[in-house]
Amino acid sequence: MSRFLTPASLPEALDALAQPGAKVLAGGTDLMISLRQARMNGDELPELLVDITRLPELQRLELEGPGCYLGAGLTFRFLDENPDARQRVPVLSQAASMVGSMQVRQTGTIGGNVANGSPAADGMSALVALDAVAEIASREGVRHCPLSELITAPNKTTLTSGELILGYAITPPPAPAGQVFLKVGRRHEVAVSRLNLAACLDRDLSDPRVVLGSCFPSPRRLVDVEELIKGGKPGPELWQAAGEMAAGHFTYVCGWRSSATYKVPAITRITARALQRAWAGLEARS
Amino acid sequence: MSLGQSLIRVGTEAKVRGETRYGFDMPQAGDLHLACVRAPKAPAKILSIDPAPAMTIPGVVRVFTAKDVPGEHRLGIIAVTRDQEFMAPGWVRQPYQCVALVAAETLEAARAGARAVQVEYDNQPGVYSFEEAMAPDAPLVQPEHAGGNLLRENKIKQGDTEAALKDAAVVVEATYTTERVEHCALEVEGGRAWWEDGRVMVKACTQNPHYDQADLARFLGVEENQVRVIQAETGGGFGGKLDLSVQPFLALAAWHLKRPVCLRYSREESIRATGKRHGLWMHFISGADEQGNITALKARISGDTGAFASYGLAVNQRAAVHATGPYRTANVDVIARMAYTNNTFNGAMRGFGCPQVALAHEAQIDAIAAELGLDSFDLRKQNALRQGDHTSTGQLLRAGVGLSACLERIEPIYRRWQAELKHTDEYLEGVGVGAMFYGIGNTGASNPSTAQVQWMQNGRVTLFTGAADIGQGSDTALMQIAASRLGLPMERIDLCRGDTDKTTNAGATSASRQTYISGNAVMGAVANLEMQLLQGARDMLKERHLEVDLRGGVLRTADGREIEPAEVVRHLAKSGARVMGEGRFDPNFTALDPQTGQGRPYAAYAYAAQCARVRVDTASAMVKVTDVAAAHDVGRAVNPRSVQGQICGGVVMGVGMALMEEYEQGRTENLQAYHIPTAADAPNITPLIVEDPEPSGPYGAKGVGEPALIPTAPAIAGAVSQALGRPMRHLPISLERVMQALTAAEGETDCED
Amino acid sequence: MPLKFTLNGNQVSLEGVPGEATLLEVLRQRLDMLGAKEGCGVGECGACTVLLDGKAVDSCLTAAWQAAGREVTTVEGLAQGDELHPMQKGFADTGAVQCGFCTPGMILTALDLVEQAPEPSEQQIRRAMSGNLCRCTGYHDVVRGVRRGAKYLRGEGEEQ
Repeated sequence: MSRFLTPASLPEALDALAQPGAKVLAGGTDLMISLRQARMNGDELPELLVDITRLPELQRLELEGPGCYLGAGLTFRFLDENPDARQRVPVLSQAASMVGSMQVRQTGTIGGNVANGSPAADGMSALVALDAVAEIASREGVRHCPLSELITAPNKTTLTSGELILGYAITPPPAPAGQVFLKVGRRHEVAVSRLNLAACLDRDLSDPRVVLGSCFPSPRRLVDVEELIKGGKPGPELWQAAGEMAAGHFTYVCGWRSSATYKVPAITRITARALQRAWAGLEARS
Repeated sequence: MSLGQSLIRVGTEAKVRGETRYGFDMPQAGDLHLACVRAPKAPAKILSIDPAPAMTIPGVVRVFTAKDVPGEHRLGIIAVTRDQEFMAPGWVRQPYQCVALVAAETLEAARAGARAVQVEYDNQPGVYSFEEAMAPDAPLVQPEHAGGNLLRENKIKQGDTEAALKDAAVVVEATYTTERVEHCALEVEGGRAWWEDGRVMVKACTQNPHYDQADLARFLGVEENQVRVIQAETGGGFGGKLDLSVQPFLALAAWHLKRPVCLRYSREESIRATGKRHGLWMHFISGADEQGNITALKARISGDTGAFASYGLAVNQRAAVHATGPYRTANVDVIARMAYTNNTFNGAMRGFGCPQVALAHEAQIDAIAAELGLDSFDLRKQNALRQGDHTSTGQLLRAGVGLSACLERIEPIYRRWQAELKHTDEYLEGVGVGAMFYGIGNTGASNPSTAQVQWMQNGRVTLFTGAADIGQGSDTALMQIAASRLGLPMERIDLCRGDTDKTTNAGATSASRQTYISGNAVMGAVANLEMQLLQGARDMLKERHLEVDLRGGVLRTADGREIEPAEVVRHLAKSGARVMGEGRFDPNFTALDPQTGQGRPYAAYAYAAQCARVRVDTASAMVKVTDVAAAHDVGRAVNPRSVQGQICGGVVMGVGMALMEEYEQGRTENLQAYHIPTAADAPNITPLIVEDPEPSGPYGAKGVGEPALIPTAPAIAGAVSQALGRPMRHLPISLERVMQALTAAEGETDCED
Repeated sequence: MPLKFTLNGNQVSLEGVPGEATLLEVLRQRLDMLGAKEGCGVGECGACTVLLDGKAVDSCLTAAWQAAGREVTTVEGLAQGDELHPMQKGFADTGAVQCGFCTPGMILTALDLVEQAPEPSEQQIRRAMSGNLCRCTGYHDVVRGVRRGAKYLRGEGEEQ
């Protein structure tokens, strides 16, 4: 049997999390599934569940100026529906809108999504595209960690017990109109990503971002693809070349597995499609 | 008259209020909870079962094994293949077979007990596909079965197929496959049993309470009247609740412990422990003349029924009988073979093999059209079964053949969609057609239904039926039939349903048979009731030769007097008589010849044609079914809204089968892994009702439950094939298969198929 | 410490609720609210949907203690005596109910939707309802039911 604590303040939460056997409840959409599994299997349950969903510190949303910040407690539904988020970081809003069902989006948070470390997490791909740096607190203090370094393997992170993600400092790409998030699942809603792709372009191609998810242990920016785009001439040939390079990157990292017969052409096409749409979004704005 | 009206179904208000209690909702405080110990692998010998560790867990009351089964171990819905052991007696034939059952004071204790029971297995070599099962010297799955691992071979032979294929202007040949599909009724199996007056009472979700009663009595080694089965409200079935599920465990525990017990499957256990739709392998060779008239079909079909036959015989036979599709085919040579394997069992699911063969017969007609450069829709119309035609079993279709009417209804839609087809850089569109015929009721076998209708002293009428309403709407349909036949408003009818103490056998809610067969039983019961009332009126008025009839719910004499039937009922009650009409109906059929498959397997057939429009995303390979138009000849729509509801539900189940559903043992065993369509995956549906009355049906009605699903997947497959310019012959049409076709079409890689 | 929340307008207080207990378990086992169903246990099917402070959540993915101090609405809390809630009536009148197992969850999700979008488009309905699986209706009549319920809620047309 687990105890349940709803801390009234961040220090109280961090104290609680420092206890052995404490586990964060950030929304519950993953945690409750694992608890159900543990109960069915007769596995040990966490000693203490720490419900951080009511901590105001985790609800920050700052999208103007240099210190852009997303609190870890923001839910996908909030990010899907919030007008500021939709305007300023559409890549995240779009990703958020594609997470699970409305019910799951209602409780699932970007903190939990990252801490859970699923390779297919839609929210994480968008956060990587926003160059998110996690602010992680524990009783010992605060550390900062880029998302790309936070996830080490599928469902494994560098988070140690006692640590809590407070939020993410983000650097949104310059042009909101050039942001696109695409997702492929086995059905049109409420599906785990077979692959997802965040693409962000600006008119000068000065800061392109291409993030591929559900293909690697964690979503990653395709730096070589971004470099290709930076020096390129916007248009179908460039998008196609970028797509092929993205697929090549996947093959290089993951080898030729059976899933590659689908994924290689799909990555090529989805990347090209996303870039083309991102560019079209910019064109429409000019 | 209520017949033909879209009345709100009975029970709807309780359902929207959340007050309906399903089998799932049966557990009550104080009940013992049950949990099954299931085998991880099969086949295996059970060397030992040690319940001792479980018995040390606080709350565990008892551990049952096969030794505790007082009656017969082997149960099953089809008498000649009664082969499913609910408590494995020394030998495990399939994964997840139950080897022990734990009863405990709490669910947690029961589950802990189930984990603690020590079972020692000796794994044995097994067979896991049709081919392995048929190999010489293959280990036998059911050594008791006379045919080795071959469960059954069904043949349909008509004319001279080889000669006809030789003479054909065009011959098309292809292989088609479908995968195993999970029913995924939203309600997982659940129920409760208790001991009362020296009998076992079982209240659980089911599609067939009277079969349950018979098999549970067999299991317990008692007379049938020692077991009472009450159908709990059932949250969907689709064939998945035809076989027994939780009931034997409930009955066994209540029998031994004389205490109320409850059992509910988790979704995972439900997926693992219950039957699936058979995946079939189908090789079709079709011939046609220059005008596109189909002249011959040679088909070879094989399937794997798993370790237990369940409805394997029915699926195999139906697949063979329906292999031609709803098209005149003079020369037919079909052999369908079904094998036992050590996989989890497959059974009935909405259509019994017909949704599988429909994929093949529809793609074949498209292929013939393509070869001849003819219009595939015209070809369907040209070959469509009509009144006066014979089926591949030699059955003369005398009346009620509404296929051409169905095709005519969808043709303008189909033509419009074809004209509107668009291909862009981002997507490709396609339109496809599926048509079908479907025999109502069991194949070449007796499958009667019975019903009673009683006029009460208070003037109300009670309809008694054993027919399980599992959400499809038979309660309302049967009441509408009774009300209309009696000339009463629906409000005057009460229903008593699905209780083996109070109702008689109506057979299974399967094979789209309840409206037609139980509807006819109700018609008979009302006729019988009417006769009793007329006789009673003469008796009451002491006028032996009085001319009287029942109209508008009132007895009217030839000389203009009106008598309330309740008066007659009260009169007869004085002498202890009640006014209860009895009805029974068994469709007119003949058994099929075992060598040629010739005969009259069904009394009535339903017909349907659907067309589907799809959009294939050229980047992701995702397929979106945007629209489906579905025309169904139901003979007569007893409740049009209900018929449309069945059609729409069937179509979306067909979308799932076409695009995403595939049960993989050990992999897709919860709803995160096993996907069914969401509201966003469902197309816009235009349900169209065609009424070509079936002379033998109640008010001309046939059935629609399974036909609703059958044409959808072939229509979608045809549409995707058109979009991609390549035939899609394997279901589900997954991302991988579509991408392969896309890349092949663009010459990026070679297509393997 | 007892777990306290508002259930369908009434205060409830429960002793001994373990931390890992789901809201669904507590509703069904402790409070006899059997309208919320478990169809999968993993937040895929939506049969367990309830409103938490007016928002649809999967009660199988919600720890009971997350409801502390909040308002929980289940299907049992919708009708006013004999009078069905307009959304319940919308579902009933359009034949959106077949086996009915998914219906309570569907109705609650629909209420969350129409709170935001009183006149939802078909696409909005399909998207919002996609977390509530149904195997009977093909969603055709569910879409109509939500529309009709929304219409009743707006006080328009009690057409037959």
